[in-house]
Amino acid sequence: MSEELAALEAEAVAVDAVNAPPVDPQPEAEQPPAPANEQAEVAGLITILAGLFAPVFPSLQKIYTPDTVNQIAAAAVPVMAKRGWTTGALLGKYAEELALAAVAVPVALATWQGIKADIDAAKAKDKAEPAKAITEQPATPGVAVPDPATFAARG
Amino acid sequence: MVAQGNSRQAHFVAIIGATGCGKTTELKKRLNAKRRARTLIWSPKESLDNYSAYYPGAISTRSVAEVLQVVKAAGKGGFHVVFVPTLNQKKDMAAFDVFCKIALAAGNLTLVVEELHSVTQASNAPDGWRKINFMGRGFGVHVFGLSQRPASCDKAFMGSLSFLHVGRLPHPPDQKAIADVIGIDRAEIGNLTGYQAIQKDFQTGKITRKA
Repeated sequence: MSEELAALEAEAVAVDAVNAPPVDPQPEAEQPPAPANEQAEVAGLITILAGLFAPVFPSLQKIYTPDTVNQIAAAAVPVMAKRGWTTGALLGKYAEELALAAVAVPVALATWQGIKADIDAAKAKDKAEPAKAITEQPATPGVAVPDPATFAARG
Repeated sequence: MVAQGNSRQAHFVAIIGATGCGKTTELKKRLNAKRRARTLIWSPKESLDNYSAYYPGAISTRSVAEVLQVVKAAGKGGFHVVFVPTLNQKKDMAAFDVFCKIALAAGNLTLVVEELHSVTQASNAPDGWRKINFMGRGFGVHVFGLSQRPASCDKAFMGSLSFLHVGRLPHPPDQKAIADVIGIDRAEIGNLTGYQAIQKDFQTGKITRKA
């Protein structure tokens, strides 16, 4: 009996393979979020990025108004859907890096501004000091100093 | 596979009739008539018939490979397996073929086939089922075939019957098919109502009319 049953193994597996039900579609929970949510998340991300650089480039605040940000986000969502990108995946994958950037970028920009200001101040000081040295240097002992009135009389 | 012997009594029972005529009641009465330690049940309407609750410890599956594994693991021991087909005729006929071959290879079991007409045709049936019909008796396979459409059941089965139970049948071709098998007038089948039935024991030739 066991030999006959063993011989049926391949037939049984073949029948099951043909009769297997189709793979269930992706569960709803794993479906991409609704476009409206995606748009809001993209808009939020752009606002954060613009805010990071605003201390250095104040004009960004005038350019990236809420309306402009929403328009960019609305246009970006279909492209993201086409490419299979989601803000959820992006934020989930790079959450730590983004948290670091949110803290470090403003500090780095402020540092850069401070250093640049220090350098500019030093340069301005260096530029001013040689001119003063030329005009105010004392006369060399033993050398006659021309009389300005005499030069003027000679025409 | 060694046959237990052609001296065994044939046990091929057809239970025929329209839905609601008492087929399941008749089947369960006959299943209960003796202890059945090994059963394979083909159950297309399992969600309604619930055969898996009929025998304690029964396994319900949609996998023929699982049926095979259970039968192999049982060896000469007991098992109760309910197979639920896809209701796609082409796929189900392929599965039914292997299902029947497993039954024959295992031997000494009761095979119940619900809605037999869904996997056979009047002049065609899967090889496994045909083997059951002409060799099953020798391997101790007791067969119960149930159907609402006897005109679509294969002739091999109808020609192997040891017992037939028929309830009301509204469709004239079905009435004729069964009347011819029993050897009575078609109108007698057509006149059956409610739970009335006609039975024929082919061992003795006795015909019984149940009111």
